[in-house]
Amino acid sequence: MPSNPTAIGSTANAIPASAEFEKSMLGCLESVMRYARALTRDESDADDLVQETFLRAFRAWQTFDMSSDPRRWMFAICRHAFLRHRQREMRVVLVDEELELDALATVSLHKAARDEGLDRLFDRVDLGPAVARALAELSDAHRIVVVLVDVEGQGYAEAAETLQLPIGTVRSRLFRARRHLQTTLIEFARDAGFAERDAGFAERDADATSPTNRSSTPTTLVSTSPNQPRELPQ
Amino acid sequence: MTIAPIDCRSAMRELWDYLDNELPADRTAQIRAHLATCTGCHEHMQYCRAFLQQIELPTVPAAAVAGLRDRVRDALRRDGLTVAN
Repeated sequence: MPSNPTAIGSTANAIPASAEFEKSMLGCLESVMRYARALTRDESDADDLVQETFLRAFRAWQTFDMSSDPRRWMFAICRHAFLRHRQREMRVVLVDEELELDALATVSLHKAARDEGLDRLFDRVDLGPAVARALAELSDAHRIVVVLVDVEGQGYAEAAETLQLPIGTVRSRLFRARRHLQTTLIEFARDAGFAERDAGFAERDADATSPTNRSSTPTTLVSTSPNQPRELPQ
Repeated sequence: MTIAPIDCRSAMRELWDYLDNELPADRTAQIRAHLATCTGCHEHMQYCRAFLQQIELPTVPAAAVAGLRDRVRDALRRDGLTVAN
């Protein structure tokens, strides 16, 4: 049953429906725009997709449940429109990806970055352009999850509902995507010569703060329990 | 209530879930307690948090948003929407 009974086609109801649509939907245009860019990887195609999304939403406005999240509804319309254009389903990623390995792999990445003087990279350097390029290099399936969770701030369950995927798939794609992004950004920083500059920052910080109970360059992640392994796997 | 200690591997395995606020309260408390006592894991948490802050940066310029909003409004008007300016 339609939960928003205001008829768009009715002259009498046109203005209230329009006002409500504008209030609810145009406010999430920027989010839909980011999502469309993540889907298409092309600004012009994304703008066309956003326009089509809003037109489709307007025409289907009477079916929108006013108690639900308008942004999520728009994401779903946007995704469906994108898939129709692509004439294919998005690539399926195996669900049995090694979640633990992806999560722990970031520890190894951090160690490698530290060894090259890049461990404070994310604190000290504005990586905006590099982040945009790194995102563009991800597969569609991984990039969209990053945009929904890390850029739009959706929870795992919310993103899973938006993408009509199991929550475990969202989680595994997210962790894998973050690992790829970290790898790409560290490579970018290495190529750009940030390692030497960042090492200089680290030396100055050490002189300035002289911490007595924190090591700025520990070689391992140490367990607090003697019964536990003292070093995480490489 | 006493918080059961966890090791580095357990804490790091669920670090993303912790930073994303996706864990139950008791598990969150365990990881928070571990991070408070383990220098290495705490540093890795800060590294991951800084990474996420880089990713969270807005990626669409405001001018581009405004331009597309005008374009969408024009398209909606042609489709019958009454839009307030």
